[in-house]
Parts: sequence; structure tokens; C-alpha cells
Amino acid sequence: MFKIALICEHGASTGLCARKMIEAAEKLGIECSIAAYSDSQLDNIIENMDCILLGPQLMFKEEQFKHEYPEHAKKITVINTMDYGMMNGEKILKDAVALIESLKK
Amino acid sequence: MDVIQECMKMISYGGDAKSLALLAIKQSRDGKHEEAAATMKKAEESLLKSHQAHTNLLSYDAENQDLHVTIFMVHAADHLNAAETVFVLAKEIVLLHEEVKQCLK
Repeated sequence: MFKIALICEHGASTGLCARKMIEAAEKLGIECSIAAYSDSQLDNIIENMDCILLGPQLMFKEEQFKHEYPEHAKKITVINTMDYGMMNGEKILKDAVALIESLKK
Repeated sequence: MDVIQECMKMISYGGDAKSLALLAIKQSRDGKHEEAAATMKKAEESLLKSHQAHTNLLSYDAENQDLHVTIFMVHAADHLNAAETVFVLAKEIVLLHEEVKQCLK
């Protein structure tokens, strides 16, 4: 079970993206929980997540988040702008799963 | 036309442009003027792509006049707007940093 959180300023566009990812996960039979949150909620959820995906519009906060949560820095990453713009749920999901797998090793 | 897709393009490329512009400010503050100029160039390219999506929506509506405004579209426009403001100001701030560094030499 992969726990993936998508973060953006209000959780609006990542909400759509999360829906696409859930569809992709069902199609591919990957067991995971995917949800969108606002950046102000990060503090409450980061502990329980396997992977934190930031919307490209929050790229400028990546360093700040990594600095604030050094023990979780490795699981924070930014979604590829192109994939996000095209809402390529499958690709984003696969990238996230690959990251989680690489962290487990 | 996929309206949501165009909105997502506006958000992700707009956010990309904003992040890059902020990065350029940081680079110029650190005295890396050439890097800052290159980053601003990339920001401009992203901003153009975001604008293009906006233009697609506008020209579609001009042609068909059946586009329904949703809160998500307003949210996307907001992102583009913010990106543009930050980009224009970043241009000035990068120049300012350059001049200050020159004076301090």
C-alpha cells in the first residue's frame, strides 16, 4: 500500500490530478491511497506519507520544505510540469511508485 | 476542446514560470548573473506556454461563445496572473541585484 500526498497552494489543481492518478491506479491494479492537500496541511500529514508530490507551481518551495523536514527530504519531489499540464495520471503515479521503491532499498 | 486540460496547462506552466523567476532572483543575489539570466529565459518560455493555453481558451470562446466559467478556470487565471506579476518584478530585481553587486565591487 503506497501512501501518496499531492500538495499545492489550495489543493485545487492537485485534486484533479489526484483523481486521474486514482483512476490510473485502479486500471493498473496498484494498491495505494492518493489525496490532495494544501501546503499548510503538510505538517500534519508528512509523517504518515510514503511520498510527497508538489505541484510544479510550488517548485519554489521545494527547498524550503526539504529544509523544514530534513528527515523526510528524500520523499519530497516536484511533479514534471509537462505530465502535470497534460494530467498524465499514469506517468505521475509510476514515477511516484518508482521513487517509493527506490527509498525502500 | 478540453477546457480542464487547458486550465491545467495554465496552472502548471504558470507555476513553473513563477518558480523559475524566484530562483533567478536568488541566483542574482548570490552573484550568479549569467545563471540568473538563463533562468529568466526559461521562465519566459514557461510563461509563454501558460499564456498560449489562456489564448486557446479565449479564441475558442470568441469562436463558439459557449464557454462556461468555472471556479477552476478562475483559479487557473489567478495562477497565470500571479506568474506574470512575479516575472515582471523579478526582471527588475535581477537587474537591481546586478547593479548593487557592481557598486559594491
